[in-house]
Amino acid sequence: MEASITLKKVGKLIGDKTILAGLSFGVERGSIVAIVGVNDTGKSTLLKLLSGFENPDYGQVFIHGLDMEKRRRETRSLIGYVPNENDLDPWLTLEQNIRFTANLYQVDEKIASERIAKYAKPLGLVPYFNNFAMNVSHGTQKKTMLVRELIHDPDVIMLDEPTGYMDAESIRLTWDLLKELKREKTIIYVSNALAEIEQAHDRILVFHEGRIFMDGHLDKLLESTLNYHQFQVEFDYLSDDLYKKLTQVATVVSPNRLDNIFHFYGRTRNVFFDVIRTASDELMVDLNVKKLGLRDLLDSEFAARGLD
Amino acid sequence: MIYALLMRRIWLWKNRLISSFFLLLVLPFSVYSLVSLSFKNIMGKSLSGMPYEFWVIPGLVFIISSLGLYPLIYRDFFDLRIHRKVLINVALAPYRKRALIGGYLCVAGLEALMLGIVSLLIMSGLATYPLTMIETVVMFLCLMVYLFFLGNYFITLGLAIDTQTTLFLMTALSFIFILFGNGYLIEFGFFPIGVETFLTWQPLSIPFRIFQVYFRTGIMDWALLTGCIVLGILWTLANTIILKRKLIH
Repeated sequence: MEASITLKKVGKLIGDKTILAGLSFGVERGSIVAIVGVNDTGKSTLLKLLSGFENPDYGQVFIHGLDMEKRRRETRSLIGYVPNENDLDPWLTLEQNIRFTANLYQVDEKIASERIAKYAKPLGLVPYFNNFAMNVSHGTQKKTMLVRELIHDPDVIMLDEPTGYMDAESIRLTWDLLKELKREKTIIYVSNALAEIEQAHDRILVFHEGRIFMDGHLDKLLESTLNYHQFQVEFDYLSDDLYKKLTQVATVVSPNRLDNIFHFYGRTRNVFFDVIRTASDELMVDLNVKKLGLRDLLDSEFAARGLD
Repeated sequence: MIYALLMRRIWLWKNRLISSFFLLLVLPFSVYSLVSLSFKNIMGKSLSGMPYEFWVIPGLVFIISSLGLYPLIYRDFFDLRIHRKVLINVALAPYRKRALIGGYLCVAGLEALMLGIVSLLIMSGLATYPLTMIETVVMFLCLMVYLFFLGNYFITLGLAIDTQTTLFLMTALSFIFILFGNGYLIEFGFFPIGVETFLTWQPLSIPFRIFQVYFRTGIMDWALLTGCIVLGILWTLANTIILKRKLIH
């Protein structure tokens, strides 16, 4: 598929600190890409670079093959950027905020009205249209910011925490719209809502210290942990001897404890029975088994050294 | 760009219609009452022998336009900027930064000019109107150049300063300077020679001085006016650089 966004050895420094270190990757048209990582790893900075809000210190960013630095005006028309924080004009109504951006991008009034109807209605925004931006909830502001960016019909939408501050219903409506948009637009977003990311992505970029630590679909990312399961056994009393005995079970991986809870990973579910067998004389209070997900992948311990 | 910014100003007016109109009417009336009615008893006549209450009217128009211009620039380049609103969104639109600064200047200048026109109409009802039609046109021409300068000055302040307390102090200082250091209320001839020379050649006072020379002698200094416009353009470009730096940090 054709590349929508291409980064070639893009780097960003703030003072002496490297925020982004020689990033090179491409994003296909019509795909939805999630960027995740712990705080201050450069995710939002990357989004700012891609949106044209900031320039890289070195390297190049291409949008639809156009160099962002050399073809600034053309590339900016192709991008819609929804920042994390509310940046609406507080003394304008929601509709005026959207129409202001439509006027900035010279969108015909009739077309703007059609797009407002197309995007604002599904998000349930219309009843709030005459309210000042400062008088509506953060979630409503965020949805307005999304519609505002869609008003000039950009090919690429970049969102920093797309569902930040939203209630459950708004989150659902927003993702319904974004998934609908995915057919015609490239969507890149930064989020800490891992459950949402698991549901909505073609690709996940896991960031760590300004570099892409992992890149791919969740299933692919979890390949390294294939068949790994996470187990928890809560004992009535987990003595040091018992803990030591359990950690010595050959098939147990990355064991640790929290009070009376024994926590470990295993490649197959049989590991669980090995542990149960070893501790069969002890009183067990609770058991928990789950397949690994994105959260586990991002666990700092996990990221640092993996499971093996 | 200008259309979008202009429409936004119209919406903001519409959203605050009563308070906006109240200020539009009260501001010239208050300034005229508090300044002209008292100063005419102190000054009596200008250095050229004209009754002070007539002489001061163009200066009051400049002052009222300055007062009208400030909140517009403050709002966009300081208040909304430090609260990370609007400006970033506008800056990401496909326009050059100088077009952005120029657009804001144009729209804010236009609104301040309208305020000047309305205030002149109000004051001409309160006192005998001292200017001919041509003098009025020249005054508004000089006022436009002045607003171009002043707008740039306010933008520099709004962009360069990041804390409210500093900005308020600088604003207070600026308005003392605008009121008393531009020859609007007190002619430069009343100041000691050194101060007079400085005030005469500081950029913000030049447009009004051009008008005063025309008012007294009928001679228009086009070269100086053109120089002012060139300086204003350079100032706009300097503001473009400041804006770029501020948006990044």
